[in-house]
Amino acid sequence: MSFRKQNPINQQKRATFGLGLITAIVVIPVLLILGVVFVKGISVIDWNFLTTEPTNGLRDGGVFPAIVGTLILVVGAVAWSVPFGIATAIYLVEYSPRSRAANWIRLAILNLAGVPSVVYGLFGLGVFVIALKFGASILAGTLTLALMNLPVIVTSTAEALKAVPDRFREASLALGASKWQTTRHVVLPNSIQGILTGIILEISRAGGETAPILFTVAAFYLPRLPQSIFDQVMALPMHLFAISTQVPNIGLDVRYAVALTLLFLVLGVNGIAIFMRAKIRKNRIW
Amino acid sequence: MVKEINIENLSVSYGRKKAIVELSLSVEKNEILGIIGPTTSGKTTLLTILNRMIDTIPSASISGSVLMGDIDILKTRNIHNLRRSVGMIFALPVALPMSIKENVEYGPKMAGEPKRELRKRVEESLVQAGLWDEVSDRLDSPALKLSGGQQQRLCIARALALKPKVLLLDEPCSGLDPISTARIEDTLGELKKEMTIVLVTNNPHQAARVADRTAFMLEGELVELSETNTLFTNPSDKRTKEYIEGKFG
Repeated sequence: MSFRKQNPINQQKRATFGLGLITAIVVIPVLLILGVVFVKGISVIDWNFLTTEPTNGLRDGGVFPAIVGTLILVVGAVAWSVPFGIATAIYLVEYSPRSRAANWIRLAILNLAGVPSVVYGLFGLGVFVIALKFGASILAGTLTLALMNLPVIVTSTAEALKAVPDRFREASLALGASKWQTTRHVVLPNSIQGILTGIILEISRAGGETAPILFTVAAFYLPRLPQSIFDQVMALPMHLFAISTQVPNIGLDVRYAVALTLLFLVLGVNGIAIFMRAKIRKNRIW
Repeated sequence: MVKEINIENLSVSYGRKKAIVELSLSVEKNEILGIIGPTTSGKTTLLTILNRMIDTIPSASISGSVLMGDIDILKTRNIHNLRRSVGMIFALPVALPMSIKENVEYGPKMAGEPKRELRKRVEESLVQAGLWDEVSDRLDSPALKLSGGQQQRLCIARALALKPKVLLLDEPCSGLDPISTARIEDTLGELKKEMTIVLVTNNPHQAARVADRTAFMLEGELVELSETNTLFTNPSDKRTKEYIEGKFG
């Protein structure tokens, strides 16, 4: 049968089926992961598990300090990286001359996103913990996470800015507005959704990474809440790693419960950001 | 007649490509100067010179002199003030993605006008642009929901809110239907009592209808500039005659 003679309606059916099948192959493992973690972990999670401190060398008690620690790390990483990331992206897209040097800088930032997280962890240890004498602390850990996430924020923000049509910029400039006014009042309000998408990605990564916080902030066992930004904190991914590999005789269901808590936490924070984005989208007018 | 803008020996090129060659002309106060000519004749480039939107094209190199009163347009450092007094309307209406009211307020707001003044200017400008009756009850709705012709009149209102001395229009009706076009042409006739208008158009008939004087440009040169009636009934240059008769375009 020659390709040309195929009925377009049959082709359409085949394409729909094929692409749908591939999508299912992609989606099913994700659902399986969520399902397995949920089914195996949910029985352990109760109010006590979420609100008490671990006891007896992590064997008993809850994960409250690790939940608080992860939240602090996520918020801290976002607080550092978002202002710097957005400012850098604005400079690169709106201000920097279209020169070869600027292109190299863009390429370099793009490639930084591919650096393994453990490398950022070691960098944080060398620079923030040791050289700047922050010690293993919230300050060092959030800075390390922020550094890891900056390339993602810069790249996604830059793409969002570029998606704003030039004719809007020209109309604003033609009305006597300055470049900064144009950026502030025309470009940013219309790229905020794309910028938020980058931040959502960052939240997931900052909440889930173990390597960057391993040497810079995470405590193995610290059954209390941090007192200042120079304190260490426990964190859920680190806690999961610890009870899975370092402490014998902990039930599998407890590990799944910690994993499930981490999933809920990250999805919850993401949910807030996605809700904000959806709200903005509703008000969007082009 | 009083001169509003005086252009002498203006040449513009983009890289090696010449867009305007040794052009001299003056725009008189409170006239509508029509500029006609085929594509690549340099009409749009001429407009972008007059309010320095040409600055957004880095490859442009410019020589000559363009004076507006005591302002040297090519040399002025305060391009923001220049663009406020020389408004520009683009070929395709560009309503900013905000409400109708915010669109009109945008220019004066960025210029730092107080709120009370903004409110006044919104109504004034929309009335001047002939759009007030259609939108006065929905000033807060998105400007992008307006029809093409309404959007173009909104763009005119937006430029008028800055109380410009000169209004530049770059083929403002190219995407519009005849009724919208007629409305904009009527508006221009009213506006010229208060300001000077330079109207670039691909459509010689439009210049014939609204312009006081008309210039014909070809390949970056000014071929002929005279009273509109004279240019269309008794052109002195053979190329002008051929263009308005539709022999090329």
